[in-house]
Amino acid sequence: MGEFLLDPTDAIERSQKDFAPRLNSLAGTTIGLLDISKAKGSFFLDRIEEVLREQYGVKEVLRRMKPTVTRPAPEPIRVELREQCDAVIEALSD
Amino acid sequence: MPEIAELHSQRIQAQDDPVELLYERGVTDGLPVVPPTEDRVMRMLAATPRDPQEIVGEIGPNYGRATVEKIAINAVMAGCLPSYLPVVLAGVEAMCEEQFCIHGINVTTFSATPMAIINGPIRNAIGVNGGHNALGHGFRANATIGRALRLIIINIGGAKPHEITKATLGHPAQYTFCVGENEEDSPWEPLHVEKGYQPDQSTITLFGGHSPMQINDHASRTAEQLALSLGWSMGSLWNHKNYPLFSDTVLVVCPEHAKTFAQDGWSKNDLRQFLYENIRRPLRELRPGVNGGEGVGVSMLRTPKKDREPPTDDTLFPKFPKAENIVIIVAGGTAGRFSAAVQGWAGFDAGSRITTKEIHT
Repeated sequence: MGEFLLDPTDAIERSQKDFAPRLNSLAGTTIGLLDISKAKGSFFLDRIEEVLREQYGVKEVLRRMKPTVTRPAPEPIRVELREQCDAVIEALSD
Repeated sequence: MPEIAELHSQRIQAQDDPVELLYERGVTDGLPVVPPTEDRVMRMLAATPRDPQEIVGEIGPNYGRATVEKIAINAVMAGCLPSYLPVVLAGVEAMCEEQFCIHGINVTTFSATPMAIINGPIRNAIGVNGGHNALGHGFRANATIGRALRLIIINIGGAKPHEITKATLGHPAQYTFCVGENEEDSPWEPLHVEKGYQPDQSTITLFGGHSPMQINDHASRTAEQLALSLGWSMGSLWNHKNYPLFSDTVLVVCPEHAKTFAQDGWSKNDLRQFLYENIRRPLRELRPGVNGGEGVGVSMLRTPKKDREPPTDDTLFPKFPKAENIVIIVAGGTAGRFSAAVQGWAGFDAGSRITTKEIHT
């Protein structure tokens, strides 16, 4: 008793982030599709795009691709998707 | 030596059982840790002239700030002696180089982990084992330096399994993976000298890889026979049909094997070049669907350049992308003809590059 231990963690307070507000409808929206460069991810996203346009009336689909699966998306891609899209789908594949 | 008051970390009342308290706080690797008391941390920090608040780097996925103080706390918890701290600090420097891509290593399903290779006089000064059982247990420096890097990844980088770390299987080398090159029993120049350092400098090299796969060969008595034996055994790394690999491979050559190569006058480069040129399979054996769904990727089957013909069934694909993608060290005891290969995670610009830092004592 009486001894103190030192915290080994980074100790940065991280606030729990809430989900962005959900869209009530996809009609007329712009949806971003981020291909993370995993094998065959583009096949999956092609189908998603087709469904979004044909069944949900999405107005525009913005397709972007990470240069490599191993690193986070470069800042310009994140900014572009954030500023131009109503919602973004980030796909994993294999 | 810093004063206790200069430390920034939150102080936690130890209570009756500090080991259990640290479990409750989720700051262990699953094994008990040494409680990081103020006294122990101060003794650890006395081993470096660096400012406790200096930020050595930021570690993904949380991009937590690895200050000298936080590194020292985790080194205490891992069981390090203060004399190991300069090695751990250099290891964190290597880990935080962008080219090492620690974020990806910490979250990939592949189960990658930093393999630490120690070279130079520091090995003997602090007792890093590179002889018998070099990749195994029994040596405090190896066990705790590797473990300190793991605890730093957990506690500063935020990489916890079942949370953001998604390794499918993991493996025992994730607890600790640190080896000294057996420079004394090697006929070749050691890894750090190959990388441009002087023999009397000490370095830590980090490689983002998986667990070691041991390869037996007690029969080959010529360099060529032995190289074919080791090389074709390495031909199954990742998958028996993944040609070429996507990364470097570390080949840990045991002293008896190294002697066989040296007797025939082979250098490390000769061995690398031979493996690159000879461990090759024709495309007909590597197409997806032949002996398994895996195989040469679609991108490889396209015409790579305008002036090249598309590959045919007879086109040979190398296991190793280039000769220099085979990293060779000598380790292990002088009895027994077992070497080992460590397969790399995604490498090159698309992943992690092997990274060396000098250890300043």
